[in-house]
Amino acid sequence: MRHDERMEQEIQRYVSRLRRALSGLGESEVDDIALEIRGHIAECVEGSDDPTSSARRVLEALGDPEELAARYQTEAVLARGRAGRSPLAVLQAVQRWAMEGLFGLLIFLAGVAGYGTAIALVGMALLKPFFPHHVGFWWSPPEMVILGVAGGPPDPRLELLGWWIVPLGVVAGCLLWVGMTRWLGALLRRFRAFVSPLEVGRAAGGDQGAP
Amino acid sequence: MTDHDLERWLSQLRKGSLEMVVLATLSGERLYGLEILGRLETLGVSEGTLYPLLNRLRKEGQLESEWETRESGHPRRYYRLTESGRARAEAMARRWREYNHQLDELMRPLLEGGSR
Repeated sequence: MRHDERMEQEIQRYVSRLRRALSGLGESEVDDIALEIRGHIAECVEGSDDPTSSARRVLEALGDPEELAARYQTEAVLARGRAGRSPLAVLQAVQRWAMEGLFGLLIFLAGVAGYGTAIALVGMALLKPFFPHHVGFWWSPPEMVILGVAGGPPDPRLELLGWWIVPLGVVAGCLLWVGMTRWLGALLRRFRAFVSPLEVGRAAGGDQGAP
Repeated sequence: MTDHDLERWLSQLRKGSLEMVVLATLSGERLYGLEILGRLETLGVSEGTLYPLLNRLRKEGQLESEWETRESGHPRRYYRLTESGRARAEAMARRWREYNHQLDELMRPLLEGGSR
């Protein structure tokens, strides 16, 4: 009986580790997944002559709870990132990709840099009315090329844009933001199909979204 | 190509068709995870791959699930195809047959040459 108890504890521990690693999905979704996996393990063990070894076999087949949870999360995030137009979903999907290799990491860094620049451009435009002399585009190479916010205000005669920096900054920032989302979404559709084996079926089955 | 490479290539092929296979398994009846796994045993599908896939297909609206309590033991979660899941499975099956046909034509010389 001691063995059974220890096995039971091990299963409990597996399921609670899985639950913890699944946080981020909806609560009822996590409940359903935990109940389903719990039931799966129990049913595999039920009819067996040697419950301990069959329990161990199921846990092994399921893999590390964290890895299993990662597969759930990747599937969920990917489905949203590939379908959606939301920058957050796209960037989240790319972040998962970044953890798998150098190529993904580079794309992720490019994504962060792109969104960061977009935010900076809009922010710069919004600051212009408050600090008119400190925000601008000073062009006097090679000593000075500044776009954005400068500390001690440089010579106003070298400033090229004036108040045009407000609409130009907003438009450039928004275009970059939208362009970034489109580009990352396209990359996800194009390359993730080959990175995540589960996704290959989608691509082969005639994904209308694919270019 | 070594046997190992060949196995890896085969497992990539299998994974590529997994979504279609799971949808096809559910074409006639509703099943729960362990039953689906049993039908896919020969294809080398593991539970660690199957359950996350089922969850995604459900979220995409291709499958729907319902819980069934039992007198003894844990409740079972049954899956069935939705309308759009069925349409997708049928479209996949048609494409697959077409593709297979083309491949057969291409491979014929290889296979006939080998039996000589």
